[in-house]
Amino acid sequence: MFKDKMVTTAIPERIFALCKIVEKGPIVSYELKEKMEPEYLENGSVYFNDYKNAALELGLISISDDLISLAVDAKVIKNIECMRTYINSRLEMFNTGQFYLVTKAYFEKGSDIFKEDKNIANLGPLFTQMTNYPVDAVAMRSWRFWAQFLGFGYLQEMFIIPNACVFLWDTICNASLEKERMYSVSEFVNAITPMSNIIIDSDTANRTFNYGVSNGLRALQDVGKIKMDHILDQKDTWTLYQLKAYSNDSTITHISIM
Amino acid sequence: MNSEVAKERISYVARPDSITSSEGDFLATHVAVNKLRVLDKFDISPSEKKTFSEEDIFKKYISNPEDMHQFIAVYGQSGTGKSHLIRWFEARYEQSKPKDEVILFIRRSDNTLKGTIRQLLEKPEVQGISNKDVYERLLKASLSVDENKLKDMIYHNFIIEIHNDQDEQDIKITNVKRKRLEAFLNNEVVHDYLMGEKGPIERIYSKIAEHTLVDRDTVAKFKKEDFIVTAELADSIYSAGADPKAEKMARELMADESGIEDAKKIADYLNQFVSEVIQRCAGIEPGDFKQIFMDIRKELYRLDKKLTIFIEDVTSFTGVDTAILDALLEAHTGKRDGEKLCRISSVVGTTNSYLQDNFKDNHKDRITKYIYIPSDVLDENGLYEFVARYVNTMSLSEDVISDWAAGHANPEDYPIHDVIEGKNWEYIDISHEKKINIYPFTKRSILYFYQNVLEKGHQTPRYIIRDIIEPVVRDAIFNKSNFPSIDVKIVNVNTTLSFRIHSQIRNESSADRLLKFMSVWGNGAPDQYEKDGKTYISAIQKELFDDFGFPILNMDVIQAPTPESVNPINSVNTVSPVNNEAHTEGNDQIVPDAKIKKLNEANTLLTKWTNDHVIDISATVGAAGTVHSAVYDEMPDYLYTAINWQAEGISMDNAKKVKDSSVLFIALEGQTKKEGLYTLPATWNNLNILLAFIRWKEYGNKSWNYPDADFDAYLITTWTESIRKELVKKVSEYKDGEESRYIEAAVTAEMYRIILAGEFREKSLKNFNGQTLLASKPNKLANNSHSTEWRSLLNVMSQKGADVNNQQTVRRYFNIGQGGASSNVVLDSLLLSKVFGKVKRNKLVIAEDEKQSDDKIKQRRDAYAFLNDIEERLDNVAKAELSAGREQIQRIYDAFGDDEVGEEELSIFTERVNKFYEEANKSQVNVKEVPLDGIKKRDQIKKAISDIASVLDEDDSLTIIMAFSGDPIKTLKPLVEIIENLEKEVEKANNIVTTKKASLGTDGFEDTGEDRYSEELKSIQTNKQKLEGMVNA
Repeated sequence: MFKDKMVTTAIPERIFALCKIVEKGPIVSYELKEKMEPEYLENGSVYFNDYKNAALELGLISISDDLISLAVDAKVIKNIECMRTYINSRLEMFNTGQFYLVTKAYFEKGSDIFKEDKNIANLGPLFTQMTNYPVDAVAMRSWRFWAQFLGFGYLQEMFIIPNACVFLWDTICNASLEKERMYSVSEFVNAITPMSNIIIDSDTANRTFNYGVSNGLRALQDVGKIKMDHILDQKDTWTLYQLKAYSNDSTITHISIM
Repeated sequence: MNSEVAKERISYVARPDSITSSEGDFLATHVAVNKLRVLDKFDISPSEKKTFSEEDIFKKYISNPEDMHQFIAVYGQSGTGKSHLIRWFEARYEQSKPKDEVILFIRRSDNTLKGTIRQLLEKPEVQGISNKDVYERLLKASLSVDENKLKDMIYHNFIIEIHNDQDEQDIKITNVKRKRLEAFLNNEVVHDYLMGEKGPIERIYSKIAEHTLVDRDTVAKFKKEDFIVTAELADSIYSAGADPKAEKMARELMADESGIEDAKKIADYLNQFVSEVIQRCAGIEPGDFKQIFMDIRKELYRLDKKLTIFIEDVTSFTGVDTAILDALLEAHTGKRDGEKLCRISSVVGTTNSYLQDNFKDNHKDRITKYIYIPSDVLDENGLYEFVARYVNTMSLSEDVISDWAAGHANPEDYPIHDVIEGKNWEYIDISHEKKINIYPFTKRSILYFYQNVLEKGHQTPRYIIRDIIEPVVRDAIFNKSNFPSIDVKIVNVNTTLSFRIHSQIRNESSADRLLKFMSVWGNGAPDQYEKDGKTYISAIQKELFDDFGFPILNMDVIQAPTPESVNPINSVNTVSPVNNEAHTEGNDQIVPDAKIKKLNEANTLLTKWTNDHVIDISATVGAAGTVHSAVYDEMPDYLYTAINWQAEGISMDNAKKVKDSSVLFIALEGQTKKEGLYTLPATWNNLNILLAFIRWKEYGNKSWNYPDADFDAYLITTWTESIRKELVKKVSEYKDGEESRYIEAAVTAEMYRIILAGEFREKSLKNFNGQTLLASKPNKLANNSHSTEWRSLLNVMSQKGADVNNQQTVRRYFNIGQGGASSNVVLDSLLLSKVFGKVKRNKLVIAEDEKQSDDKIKQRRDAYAFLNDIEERLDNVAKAELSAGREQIQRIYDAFGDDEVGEEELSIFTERVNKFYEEANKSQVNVKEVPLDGIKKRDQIKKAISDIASVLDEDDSLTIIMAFSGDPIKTLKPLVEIIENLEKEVEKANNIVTTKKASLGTDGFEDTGEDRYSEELKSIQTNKQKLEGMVNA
């Protein structure tokens, strides 16, 4: 799923449900499958292996002799937000996978994504070209579930509006940035990039936050989780995507975690 | 502005009624009007384009250079400045009148009939008139009646007039209607309604009473609106137990079209009695008034004087208006009772409608000239000067103004106040190169108020004083730290400016205050520019912000505008229309003008919403329709996909039910129809959100591909994050703080359905498992032996597919779906086991106080309704089923002669039956063989008997229906049929045997002794011996 191609059936909520069953104790694969997709439901297909494998990829479970066990501390799956924060901390491990590459390309596209087809299932060719990785409609449909869940944007019908506020906040938490402390913008970027290269260009030379990241930072500021400042005469500056109505000053030098 | 002086003076200067201000203040605030029209014939809305200045008219007509009899009517809408102009004419004429001219200025200072007469008699020139003592006595007989009594007198006098109407009036109504009207007016509810604060009696009372606060241009008449009966009023009338005639009238007046016509007719009919009622209640007769005037004119003629009379407001004369007009219109050239009258020149003020409706045609024909004051009597500069002169006058002490007035009020000597506050504010040029500082106004703010705050028809001097000058100046001098705190409605707020202010100023009231200042006092654009070394933000000089302690926010730097860009007064709207809507700079997309217009109209409506906190978007067309679509369609569709309901712990079944319900996800604050789970407050930011949804639909054709969509997308997503938790909470809850538990009802009902459908036939719920619950398919048992009640319940459950719907609810609720695309079910097994376990533990009982049958989400409520349909019939079903079962089983017990019927008993029974047939066969008794196939499955019969027997003494309905779930009656039916058939056959056999016995002998029936066959035996014995003899021989 994350290592390679995406599949629509391996959605986060199924992985979470699976983990919660496994949390109660190791269980053989068939029994687990029967709990989630019992034969009597007469489903046409069995999805179990798809989401079980995704959970395995993400390191949430382990399998030994067909016995499935929880591979993480219980607090990782205390609730689905905890699981999301955990997954967001591990995305860089899959930086050659389809999900990672498509997400990166999506953010690089900036607000130009609005000029593309509003049904992302039709954007396979575009992302195939951008990622050099074959991306088909199924992969894009699958991507939307995870892009929404992991906090890269908001799903509107079959389109994702880029706004990484949820992902960025998870990353800020994962980076253990201190609250009520003002960081220079470079300090901030350095602290979060190990986990956020997926949306922040690792080549930070241009010192510009793309549209989706800028939306995320502004949204976090609006809800009072961070504060962005432009302190004059500071050389360490980054530029947010220009949103005229938001502010005529898109340059920031410092970010405080509130 | 000199606020120290203004605090003292504002109450005296800013008076909407010019007549009550001092001479000095009157002259100091006077602005010459130049758009007057002069007509020979009355025209309510003159098309005459030629305009005159007040000075032109004064010289040509008012000063009466030809010394002729004349009657000049000055008319215009209420508040246009008629009184002001007449007062100015009077003041001007006082300065230049001939010596033999007597000027009578009839004020409406107390605005009553008697007050007007009193003013006439107080004039020094008429102190010698005949009958003066009689008139004064008449006035002194002042009404000492209290207000309520006087109003009641007026009211009941109308009823008396109706009662005594002998069809002598021009407007007639039928006798039946008259009686209904009388009953209607006698109704207590109607009485209270018409006597209300804004009712007709109050208006009429104002013309009689000495002191009232009714609008001075009020016409003492009934209006059709007074008689339009609303549903609410009708309800009150009915519930108070009205006379049937009054009720009929109320019903007639409620009708949509005919009701309005009837109301008008009644108003017109009653208006015929107004003069008479007023006179009667005031204690004055029409003749009195006429006589006063004639006596005054005779007296003046005797003194060799001529009369110029200025009547500020002829409406004061309601009740005697015909008499006064007759008196004024009568020329001195004619003779009256052989006595001569002085020449009279009359300048009479009246409103358009009064002139049109109350002046008879013969009066109108005799009017010399009509002077029309248009509503927009002030041009743009006149408006500025008008405000400036008021600001100036209230900043000057009374002494300064009085001195100037006493010195002939020369314009060149016009005093200008020393500016204490607002040195950097704008100045207005007036004559003689004088300049007046207009703090706390800007020209833009004056225009804004004029065009957007004053209602149409109120853009007149009176309302400029009352609704602009007085409140704004008061706000600035008495409440400076909160200025502008007055309730100004911002029209077409610039959403960019609004967002920028609110995103940088956290205190919402401070942000609102700044937005109001920049939008009303400035141009409302998020721009700043430099001009002549000064910075202008939203076209307001930066220093002006400091005067009121506003924070300075950086805006987008633009080129200073050219002078041509200043809007003229008539180019409504002066405020730049919305957020540089769809500007195409640097963008190759162009939004059609029609769509921009559509958005601007929606913005206007939504801006009004943020001001009024009320909005009606029930219409599906126009601006309301545009907003309707955003609230009813675009927002819920977006939120349904943008919020990851499953990740938030909400089943997609619940989310979908809410989405499909009549309750909106989001409703607007003050929305008149339809409720929502989350109420969007009427704030600027939320206005932006709504407009973003509208632009997405209109500009982008449901995409974000349009100019500045990047900002809208940002707005929407950030807003989603801000409301997500609250909305999720609302969707998950049945009521505040109480989780929705409709799934428990749905699972309970589904379990009942499965039991009743015979798909689960055990006596205990213990083995009722997930498979039973989820793998069941609804089916109708066409062929069963259940009671009528049982079958009827199954029918009820399947009505309108309720059973299928409930089953789908259960199946969907526990499914972890993927966007609704797959029909496969992946179970949330932990949730299923939690809910299922609870329902089973509670033995399918949900306590009444735990039921959420009044859930506002109908689709969730359906689960309770379905369950209720089952529960309310369950006891009867159980009772009926048990009764039928008992009957069956009793039949069996009776047949077996035992109440323990098991396999052994059934086996014995079978043997006995077989033996019966053997014997019958042997005995050659012809009986029909009854097949015993029906009792081959003895174990089933045994179980059926046991099932029924186990609940014969049971009260619990669930236990009973579970016992009957497998339809044991049907299982027992063959056995009972066998028993019944056998009984028939046995009876039949008995009958045959009896018949045979009977045929053995006529008396044989009673004789059962050993000799019964002795003769036959003898005969057989004899014959036997013979045969043996023959064989042996």
